[in-house]
Amino acid sequence: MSDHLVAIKDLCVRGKRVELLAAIKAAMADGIEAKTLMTDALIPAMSVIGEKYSKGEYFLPHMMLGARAMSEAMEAIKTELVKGTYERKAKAVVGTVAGDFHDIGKNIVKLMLEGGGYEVIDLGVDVSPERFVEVVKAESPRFVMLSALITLTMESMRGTIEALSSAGLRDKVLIGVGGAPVTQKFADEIGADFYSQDAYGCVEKCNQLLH
Amino acid sequence: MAKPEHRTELSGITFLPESRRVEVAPGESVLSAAWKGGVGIKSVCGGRGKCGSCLIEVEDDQASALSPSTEEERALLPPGGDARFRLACRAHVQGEACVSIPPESQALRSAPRKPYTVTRVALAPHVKRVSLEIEGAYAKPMRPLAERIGEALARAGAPARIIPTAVLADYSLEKGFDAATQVSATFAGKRLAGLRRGTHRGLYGVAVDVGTTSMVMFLCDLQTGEIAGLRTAANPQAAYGEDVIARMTHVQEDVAALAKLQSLLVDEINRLVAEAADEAGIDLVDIADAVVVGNPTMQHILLRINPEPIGRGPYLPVLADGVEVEAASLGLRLGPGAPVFVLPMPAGYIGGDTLAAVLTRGPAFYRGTHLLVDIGTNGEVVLAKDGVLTATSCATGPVYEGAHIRCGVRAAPGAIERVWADPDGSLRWAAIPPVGERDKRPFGLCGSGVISIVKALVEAGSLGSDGGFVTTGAHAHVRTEAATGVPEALLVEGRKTRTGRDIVFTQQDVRSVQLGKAALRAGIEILLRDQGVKELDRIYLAGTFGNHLAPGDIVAIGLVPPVPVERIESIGNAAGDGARMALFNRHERRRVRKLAENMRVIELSHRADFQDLFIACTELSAVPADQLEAR
Repeated sequence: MSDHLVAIKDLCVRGKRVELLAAIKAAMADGIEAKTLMTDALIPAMSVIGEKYSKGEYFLPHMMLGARAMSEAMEAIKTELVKGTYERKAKAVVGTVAGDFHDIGKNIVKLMLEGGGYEVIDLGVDVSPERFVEVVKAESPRFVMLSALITLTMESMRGTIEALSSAGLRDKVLIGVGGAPVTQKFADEIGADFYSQDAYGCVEKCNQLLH
Repeated sequence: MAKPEHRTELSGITFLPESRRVEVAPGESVLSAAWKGGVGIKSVCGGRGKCGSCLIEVEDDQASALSPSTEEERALLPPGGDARFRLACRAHVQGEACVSIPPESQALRSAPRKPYTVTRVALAPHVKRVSLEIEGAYAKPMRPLAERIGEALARAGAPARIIPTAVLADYSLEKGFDAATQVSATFAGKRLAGLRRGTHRGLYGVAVDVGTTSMVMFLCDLQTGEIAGLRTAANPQAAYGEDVIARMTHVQEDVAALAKLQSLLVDEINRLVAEAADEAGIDLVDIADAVVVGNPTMQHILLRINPEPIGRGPYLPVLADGVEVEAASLGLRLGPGAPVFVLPMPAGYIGGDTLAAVLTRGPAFYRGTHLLVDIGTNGEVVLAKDGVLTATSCATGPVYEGAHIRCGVRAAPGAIERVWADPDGSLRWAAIPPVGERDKRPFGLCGSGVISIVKALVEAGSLGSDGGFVTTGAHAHVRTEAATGVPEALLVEGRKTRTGRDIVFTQQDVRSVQLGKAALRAGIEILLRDQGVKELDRIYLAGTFGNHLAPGDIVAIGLVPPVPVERIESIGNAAGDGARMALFNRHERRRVRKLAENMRVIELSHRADFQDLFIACTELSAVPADQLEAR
């Protein structure tokens, strides 16, 4: 049994999508529960990817491959997970803020969160504060993740948080911010709940805040 | 140096090696003090504590004069925890202090090493001189001076007879203006720009290329087509952050910063013009015309237009047209009434500098399949295919200027500009030769050295094509940093460098190069795809940086599509050359307007295929376009 888990973790770390899906199928045929696959292989794989990325050993292509493999694996075991006692940890809304069209970092965060067991609503890029407010009202997510890659659009993060506040929704969500120019200091200044330097750190912060 | 007990309300900070003292209010950051005093400290992020480039050294006995360092600051300091290092933007002055700026933190002051390539231009200046005979006040019938001037203009067959009030007002300040006299009239196109007593033979103009880091000014003789004077300088706005975004951020925070940035720029242009004119024995009043090119942000700032919208989506300039305004209205000190032509800027990141570079290629550029790449903090790419022009811009980041790189430095004597691997895998290097300096030791890697070392490391097998260091069975130059377990390459040992610190190339450095190169290559590939281009006849590399790159290096790491190296041509500071063409020949201004109208600009962030292409382009090898997807 643990052979399956070791192999699955390794395939996920190396981003081997096709082989990973085959290995998952084989493991489930051998009676390994979907929940075990997730907690003992996929989630540990994600933390290995995150660690390798932060050391510079892994780069964007590895990260993207790993995150995609993870997300597909989650998709494959989803029906089984739902049958079991597992439920999605929480709902998260992600988006790149108004005036900013940068996609890649936000997409990796989305995949990582999905891999980490979250239900993710991706609003895309150049998302207006009004749109965030609208979706938070309609979907009642636990988390709102804001991405900005330009110094100038960091101000849109402030605007989005202010819009959520004036709509009376600020206390209903936990707001995370990230992107190359963003700092912990800036996150504190605009009243975000947390900041993460990279995508895996973001999933970890979400997990901590849930507990 | 004052002792702590002598502290007063206003203390000071002395910057070494210049020994310049600047007065500061307590609590002000070292970086802001440096800006105020005009002391150049490198600051890639504009003082936001993000980049770690504004490193300063503080002697032990000075430590108490600065605020203590925070965790966030220490994370950006060189590893090893040497307490002498601080970040200028994070250290706040608490008392009389003295800090030194190590060579690698001194502001990028790299002026182009080869400021122009001679391009012959047919003379057809926008401005012209007409000599007039004006009648005296008693000439019958007696009539006002303006009427007499109008008649003289008609007699001389001048392009227009309307006399702008400002021109008349200006002329009325000359001694004996009302008497019968000889007058020189200067026309800018059909507009009367100036009147002066006497005959004036000289007719000059200036062409300026304003870069984000450096600028070039040409003083040109509009009658002979010669360059009468030439000056290069750093863009003084560099004190407000090194890239355009940092400058815009200052304007976003305080709109008054726009006027400050504008006057810094104009004052510097005025200084360069005055110096060059003085040296060439040219009277400022004979400078009758000017052309300025720059990236859209620089052009906006020059025109006192808020550049802020360029910084955020949808990245539109406030103004896209080329404009002619009176130089004096911008604060430029040229001849009275002299106009300045600022080139069109078809998109937020495609400006007059890019158009000017295209202009230098002449009409032949449209024929065949040509690519023009201007590499800087931002990369601009223009593709011509059978008469169709498409362009895009890519956020390459400042890696090509040696910034964001641990041992990255400006291109100056002592900077390593080329690295290669011997057949046995050991690294060799060559630095820019020192001029009149005795210290021949290197102090870092400049932009071309950065590209060169990546290629050498891949070639030696020390870097995989995915950019990861190969640590098993590696060469001696690959070592693992004890503290973090992250590998890096050692190029020069500390005992052989000017700074006493090792010159290394880190895993993070490789990643920065990959990001910069992937952005540029993905931009190029999007244009090629859009136009269905499979093969390029020629790649032109514009910009200072393009001059110093070995074509073999950039093909090998996949910065440009794989083409035979002889098809890659460096065209130097083409923007400056194009600006001179527009100065010497008014028809070139029409051409450049036409170029702007016909150029279709593709915004990369709106392309669905950009993400995958960008990620595929991080690969450090000469991958052909059709194999990019497969990876």
